[in-house]
Amino acid sequence: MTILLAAEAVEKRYGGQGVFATGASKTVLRGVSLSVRDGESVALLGASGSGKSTLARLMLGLERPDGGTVRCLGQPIDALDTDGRRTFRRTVQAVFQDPLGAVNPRHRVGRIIAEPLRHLTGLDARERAARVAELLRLVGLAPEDADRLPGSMSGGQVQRVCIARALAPEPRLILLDEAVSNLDLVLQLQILDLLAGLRDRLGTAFLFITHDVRLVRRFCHRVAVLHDGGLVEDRPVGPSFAFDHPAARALLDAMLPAAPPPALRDRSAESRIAP
Amino acid sequence: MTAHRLSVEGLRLSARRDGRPVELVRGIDLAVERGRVTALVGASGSGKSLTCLGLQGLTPPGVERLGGRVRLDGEAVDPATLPGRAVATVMQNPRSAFNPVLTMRAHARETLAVRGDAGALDRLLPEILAEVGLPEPDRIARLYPFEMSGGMLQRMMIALALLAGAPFLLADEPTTDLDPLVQAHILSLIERLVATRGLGVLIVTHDMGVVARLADEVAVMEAGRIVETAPVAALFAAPRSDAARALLDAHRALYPEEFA
Amino acid sequence: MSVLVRDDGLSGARRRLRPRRTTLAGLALVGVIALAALAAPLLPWDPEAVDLMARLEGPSAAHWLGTDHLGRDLLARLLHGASVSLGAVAVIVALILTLGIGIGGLSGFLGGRTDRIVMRVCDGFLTVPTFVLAMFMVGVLGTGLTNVVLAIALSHWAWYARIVRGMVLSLRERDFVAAAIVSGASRPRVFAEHILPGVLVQLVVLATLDIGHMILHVAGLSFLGLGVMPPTPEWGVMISDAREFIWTQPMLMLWPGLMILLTVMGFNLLGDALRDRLDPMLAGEDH
Ligand SMILES: Nc1ncnc2c1ncn2[C@@H]1O[C@H](COP(=O)(O)OP(=O)(O)OP(=O)(O)O)[C@@H](O)[C@H]1O
Ligand SMILES: Nc1ncnc2c1ncn2[C@@H]1O[C@H](COP(=O)(O)OP(=O)(O)OP(=O)(O)O)[C@@H](O)[C@H]1O
Ligand SMILES: [Mg+2]
Ligand SMILES: [Mg+2]
Repeated sequence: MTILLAAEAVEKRYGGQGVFATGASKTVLRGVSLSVRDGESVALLGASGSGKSTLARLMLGLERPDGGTVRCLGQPIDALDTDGRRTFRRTVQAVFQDPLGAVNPRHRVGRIIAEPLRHLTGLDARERAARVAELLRLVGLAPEDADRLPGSMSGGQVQRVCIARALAPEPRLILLDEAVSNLDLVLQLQILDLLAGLRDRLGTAFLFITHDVRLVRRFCHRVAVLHDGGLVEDRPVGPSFAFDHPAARALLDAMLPAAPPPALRDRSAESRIAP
Repeated sequence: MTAHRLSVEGLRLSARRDGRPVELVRGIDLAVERGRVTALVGASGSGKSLTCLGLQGLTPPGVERLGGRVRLDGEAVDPATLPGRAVATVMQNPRSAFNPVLTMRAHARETLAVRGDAGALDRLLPEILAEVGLPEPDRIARLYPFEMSGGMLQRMMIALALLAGAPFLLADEPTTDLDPLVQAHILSLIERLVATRGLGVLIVTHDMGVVARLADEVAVMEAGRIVETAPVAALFAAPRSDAARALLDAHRALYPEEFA
Repeated sequence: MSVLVRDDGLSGARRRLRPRRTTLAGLALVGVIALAALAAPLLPWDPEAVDLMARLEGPSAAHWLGTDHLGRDLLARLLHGASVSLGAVAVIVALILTLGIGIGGLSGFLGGRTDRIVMRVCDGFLTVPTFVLAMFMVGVLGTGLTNVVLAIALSHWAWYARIVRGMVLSLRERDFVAAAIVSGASRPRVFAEHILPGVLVQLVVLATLDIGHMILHVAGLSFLGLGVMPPTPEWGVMISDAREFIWTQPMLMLWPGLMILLTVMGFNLLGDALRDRLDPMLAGEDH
């Protein structure tokens, strides 16, 4: 199967130069390699601040690695010509971590979702509007929401707008950075089912950055764990899986309880919510 | 500040859409009490964040308040005096809540200034950063928002809320971007503050795991109304509303082995 | 927490729709003066027609506000003065915005070495005060309105370029710019669609607030004899001409002074109102 996107021994350092010169530089990634194949769902786990979003930004060509290369369909992405770049963008789409920050506050939802359609497909205005309506319905919003500004929507609604935008040009790989973290569980499962449907129907691949081990277990084929600037685990996900590396194990062990502790804390003995 | 109970009664919020008014929050009574944790759960778009704002007397642009006075111990208060003094908040989208041209240190100074205690900055900041699990306080203090990861910003928001030293904490999805370890750490921290300092907490979340871990009682929202309130154990054992049942079913689907 | 509007009873939405009295005053002032500027050339009175038989006359049916020391109609001169001042300011603002957005925008967007060099150049311009630069230019190029306009534009653009660069730098780091790039937008389109509009709105507000200054600069330089030359009707020139007669005909000096005052005030009120009106819209923008 084709390798859609691959990071090869990428390194990234921040600080130590430029306007924000604030002391020593910090190495965030040292020699990380990660690849995603056609139709594959890979989870990327890691403690907060371990460099997951940084790796995502490198793989999207938004920042340059200080070492190593990122390849899309075998081509290094920093040496692409105009056509190559267009293919790259059509192949890989992304949902960013902070939904409200990832949409232009001046643009209406319809325009936001249509942006990749405008740049990457040959659809005319009417076809784009139809596709936008279809996408809105897919993510559980109403076609009329196309006229709203993101500032007037709830956190989870904006996040769904971002998901719709990433789905719009039917990419072969979608990179999801905490992309369902603002959704209620019912919706999370619906969106995951939607994505799984795409995977089965179109062979879409996913790179799923998350903290939620429960979702990894439910959705992904493979899981990689980032720790201290390097990948410490990269293994298939079975019905039940365990890690070897202590840092990775700690993430798994800290999973939240399924139900309140049986011995009730006495504070919760009676409800005191206003009637 | 000795108030024991922060409440809002008959909170009603509406907005205009295509010229027609739409009711977003339709008459909500909600209270937060010192020393207790109330969880507010519900589907995306059901009005949790708006309610949370309403409890501080705030309304986002484009939204109109039709009713609902904020009260401290039953006395109507001027909402302008609440934020930063009686109420500390953690907002849903951490990155958008920060000023992009201020460092973390400057944010902390602003927060302390509201409390009239800017002099204590150098003493309190490293302490509080360590408490929320942000090591290297010197490095963090100099960072701008775009230089921090999502989870670091979320912890920073929590740190700022704690710096405010307010008796009530309203936290809107405070742990969504945190890894399980840090999340557990923050939840313990909140629990400790509730027990030792009598902090009163309203936590908005969609994660029933967080509810199970932390809450004393739960209010379930659906389409702008509270459809069920119950002690946490009762809710998990026997939910009465459809909304609560749907959330719990989805929650249990994530723990296949425990509920198989 | 800039996202939030505090609401204490009265409906926030309704309050924002009702313009404030100062806004109306600003709009009215600027409107009337702009109208005067536009209408002046259409009026039958010639502002430069000398009539030595009718020097320093008081108000009459023929000359509503009287005449100056050369018997020229004061009202005609005041109205034409409006078109000279506003015309000059319009050119200055256009120049400044073009230079500021073009140079500051590119500098911020490209970053790196270009940015550092451009910012040094800006610093250089910023250290020279308007009047000094104007005197220098007049010395080199000679007096005249064109040189005054150039001098004011040259001494102000760097300030705007710096502001634009700052805004672009902060917008460039925003995730929605990254999202646009991932959506396949080319760099120029990202700049035009996602960065420029945000910058423009803020700049229009700043420029409106600055117009008052610029009118004062034009008038001040002309008053000193560095700018507009007599007989062209310009408020600064008129005040300068009226100096001799300050004790006998104080109105000659008061009228142009009043025009300057009202114009500056009008634009400042309008700028304030624009800022108040646009700020909530910029809520998600954070700068
Ligand atoms: N532009 C930048 N300048 C300086 N440091 C940065 C920058 N971007 C990220 N960092 C640093 O890199 C580290 C990793 O950040 P990153 O956003 O990749 O973490 P993450 O794994 O996505 O965490 P989270 O789960 O909390 O989102 C952090 O320590 C952060 O401070
Ligand atoms: N400023 C606004 N103007 C108009 N409508 C708004 C505004 N803010 C929120 N809404 C609408 O009000 C409803 C409730 O929004 P709220 O943000 O409270 O939802 P929420 O329960 O917090 O959802 P989520 O879990 O997705 O964050 C949503 O349908 C939303 O579209
Ligand atoms: Mg991240
Ligand atoms: Mg919300």
